[in-house]
Amino acid sequence: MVERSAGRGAIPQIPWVFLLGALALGIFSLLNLYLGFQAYASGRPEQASYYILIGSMGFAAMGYMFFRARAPPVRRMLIPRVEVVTTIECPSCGLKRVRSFERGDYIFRRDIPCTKCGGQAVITRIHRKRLPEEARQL
Amino acid sequence: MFITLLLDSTEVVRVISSAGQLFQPQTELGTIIQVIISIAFITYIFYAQRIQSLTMLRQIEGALRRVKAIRDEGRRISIETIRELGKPPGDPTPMVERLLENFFISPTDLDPAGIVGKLEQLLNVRERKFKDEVRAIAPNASRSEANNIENLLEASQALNVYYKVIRHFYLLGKKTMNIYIIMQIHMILPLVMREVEAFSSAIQAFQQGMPIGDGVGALTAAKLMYGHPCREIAEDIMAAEVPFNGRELIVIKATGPGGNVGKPAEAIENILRERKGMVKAIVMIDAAAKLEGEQTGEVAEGVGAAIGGTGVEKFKIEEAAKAYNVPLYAVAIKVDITDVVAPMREELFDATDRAVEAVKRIISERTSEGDVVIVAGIGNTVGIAQ
Repeated sequence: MVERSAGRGAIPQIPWVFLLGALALGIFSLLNLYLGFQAYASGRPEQASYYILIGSMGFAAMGYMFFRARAPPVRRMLIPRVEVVTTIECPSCGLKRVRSFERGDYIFRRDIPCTKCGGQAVITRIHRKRLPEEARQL
Repeated sequence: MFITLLLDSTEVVRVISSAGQLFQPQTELGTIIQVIISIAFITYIFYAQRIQSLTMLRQIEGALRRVKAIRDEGRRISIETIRELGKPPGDPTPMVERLLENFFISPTDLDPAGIVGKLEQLLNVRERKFKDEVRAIAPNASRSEANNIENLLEASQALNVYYKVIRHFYLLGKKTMNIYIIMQIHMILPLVMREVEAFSSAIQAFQQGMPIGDGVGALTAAKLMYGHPCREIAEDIMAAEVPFNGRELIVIKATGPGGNVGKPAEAIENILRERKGMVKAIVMIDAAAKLEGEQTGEVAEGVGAAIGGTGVEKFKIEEAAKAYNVPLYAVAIKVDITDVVAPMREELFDATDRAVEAVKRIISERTSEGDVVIVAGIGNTVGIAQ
């Protein structure tokens, strides 16, 4: 099965032949396990171990095949969205307030009305929130 | 039944002893196991490299899927932003697709004499063409918004190139199953992915017009020139004359708040010409890639032209400084590669205050009263006015 919507240069998905093969291997392994337990119940431990070993190996191989072939999950947040804050200060009354960044904000924007005195406030800081610092050992 | 069996100790001993018999070569079953192990061992001897190639291809494929998803998302956001800010009359998608596939051919270096001039001319053509095309797809965007759209498209373009290069090596490696082709991309994949992550962070910054890590130089200059009258000294470069301790500082930065780096070399040349070379020093402030272990926002001082890019601006600044025999001092603010085009971190914002102090100290130590000093804040000025 090929990714149809992506057009040329698309990355192939898991082929159906592979899925059928894995299914057949799973059924075969399950059958071996069943036969193993049956053989054990009927007093043939050596034969039982043989079947159980084959069954377990079959399941391990199937798991490994899926691990190798499955499409790696693409993280939901592809384009990271970080929290950015804007600090607005009023030079006349000294009021300082911090709010989330809004489109149109820029450092030293002077046309923002002060909520306290009605004067012209200035955006003095725009940055991401600080992350906890890692201790430097080396 | 199984639990009853396990609880019965004699049965457990029987199971263990029969399992142990599997690996005894004397028994029929033991021989089969021995043969299987031998076959697996011989297979590994002959196919180890192929198995390794497949494992590496698998990891490259995972990275490629992620880059593809990021590239597609970046393109989607670019188109959405153009529609929102530029209000184009038609569908901008075909034009955006065309812009993303745009390429640049560097001039030949077989005869390197005069290559900087040729490179500059080609870069100017590319820049003008890009600006015109952005103007055409976003006719209603303001100058700042058009600059941000331009930067947004450049970030999407970079993501597209990363995707195509990784895909090239992946498909070529898969086709040839040559371990050396596969290893070339596999070895640098962690570094490439860091750059891809960085460009993916740029999408949010340019879409919203937020200051980015690369803007620390421009922000330092903006803090120095704040409150003083500005004039346009060169293409997309503003200059302000700032008095400081009896000296005259001519502070320059790219014209903000739109995403812009301007032409600082042209500005420095113009100032040196205007002042007839009577400039005591040039101090440049820029973001510098930090090494692992260094702290983000560390401020370091040095000598030389602190400016990145293609090298054209650096060459012209060095030439101008040499022509007028003006010393070049540099202040670098350490920035991680993942923060260069990402929204500015608080550590970097605070570092600009230390950079201002460093600039003032260099000027106080290296110049005398009455001297003229050029202070150039280098970097993308998105989200930073003057």
